[in-house]
Amino acid sequence: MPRRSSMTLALATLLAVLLTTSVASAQNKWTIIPLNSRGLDEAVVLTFKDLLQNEISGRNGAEFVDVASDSRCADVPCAKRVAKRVGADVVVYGALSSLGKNIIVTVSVVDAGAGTPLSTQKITVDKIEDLESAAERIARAILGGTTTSETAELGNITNKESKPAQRREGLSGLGLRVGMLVPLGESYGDGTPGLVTDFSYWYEARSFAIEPRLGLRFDTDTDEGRYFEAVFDVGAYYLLGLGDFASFLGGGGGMRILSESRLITRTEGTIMVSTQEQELDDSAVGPSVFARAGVLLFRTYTLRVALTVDYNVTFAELNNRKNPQSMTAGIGVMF
Amino acid sequence: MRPANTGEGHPAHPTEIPTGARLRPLAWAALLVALPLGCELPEIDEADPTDVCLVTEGDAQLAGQWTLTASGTRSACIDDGYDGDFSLGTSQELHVVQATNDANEELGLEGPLLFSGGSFDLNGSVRGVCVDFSTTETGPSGHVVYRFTGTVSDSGMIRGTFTGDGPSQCATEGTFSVAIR
Repeated sequence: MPRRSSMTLALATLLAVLLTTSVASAQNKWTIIPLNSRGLDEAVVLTFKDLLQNEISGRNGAEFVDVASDSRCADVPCAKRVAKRVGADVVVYGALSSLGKNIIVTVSVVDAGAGTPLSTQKITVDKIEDLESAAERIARAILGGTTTSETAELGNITNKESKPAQRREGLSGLGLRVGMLVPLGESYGDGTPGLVTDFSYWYEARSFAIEPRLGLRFDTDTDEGRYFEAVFDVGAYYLLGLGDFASFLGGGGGMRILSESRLITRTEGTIMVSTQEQELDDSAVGPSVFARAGVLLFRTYTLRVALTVDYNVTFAELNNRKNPQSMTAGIGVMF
Repeated sequence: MRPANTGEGHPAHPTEIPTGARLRPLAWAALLVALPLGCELPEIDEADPTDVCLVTEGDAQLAGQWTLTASGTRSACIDDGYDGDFSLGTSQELHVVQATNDANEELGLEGPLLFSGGSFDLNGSVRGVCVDFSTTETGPSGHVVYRFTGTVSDSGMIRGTFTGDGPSQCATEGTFSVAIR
């Protein structure tokens, strides 16, 4: 066989294979078995079938053959038998089911010759009028090899999809905490314990809580090193109990602004030694992390009390001392 | 001294004031000047009220082991971290000797005082109960000089005031005391 003829034949064969493997093949005969109806008017189901057939044929130009109106199928073997009887290559079957306020549409497409499923689609609407959009999206999903959720676009969004998804709710409110800060090591100007005041928003679910917070810390003894700290962070905690006495663990991070005045003793000289006390001031802004353990009291009430102990680290340097650390303990009220 | 009687019943000229009486206010003025020098003040020589150092009674003997303590203020430092109050003291006893040189009593260290990275020296003089001495220390802090002026009390301690230069070119001043063993 001449080379040019061989090439032409090969290309034609390749093209034929590509065309015949597509669900949207225009040469295939299609049929839609009357859809099962559960709790819906038969006219609605028939109208949906017609809409679906119209959408499919309008997109792929397929020939549709009719099936007896009393035929119903709910599985592939049944659909295959019906398709064979009417001489269809591709068969569609499914159901429209009423469930409360919703209508659930399920459609399956089967290759009648091989008996293999080609596409399975499902969409839920809460208005009968949305079945028109559902038919269009199912047709596009079948022919495009996607899902109905991927066929959403302006103009075919159903009423159910326009509503926000339901979410589980928790208990939330403002929180106030007071307590004590204890500097660790030479942190916070090597100062003495100070006061803690936190203002927060406490969101509590069944087994966890989240708390964005604004806090202030400052010393109470100005004879020693002085300090002031502002805290902006978010914490997340795992709640270990459901009763009125529930322990919890967690931590978080954010940003802190810290300033300190540190008293240092400066000595000069070897034989004639001078000693001088000097106050060094410094401030810094840096990221921070904290770990917390606590007990949540009166958890079954809307007003709760929490006893907490925190370990805090701020990643900053003040007066040549890195990463000031502290322990804080406090009592908080969540409204 | 009372004016001589000329026999004619006329006293001496009223403007003539005896020497002792004339000098007594001056002595009190010297006493007031000596007040900042310490609690124990040199006794005023009634014979010569201007001799606040009591030179006529001989020079104080101050050789021995000195321990100095002081307190003062630094100002005008290049590094303003040095500005402010400070305390001063010897980290060890200073072995001070006293020698006569051309009728002057001079003070100094028995031997050179060296340490790692520097040296220390003391020089001074004694006149009666008045003492002037200075210390010079050269080391990691630079060149630091203190100048002390004081008097010796009956208890044998030296008390007075001092000024100084350094560190960081600070101007220093204050008060001091030296215990001698």
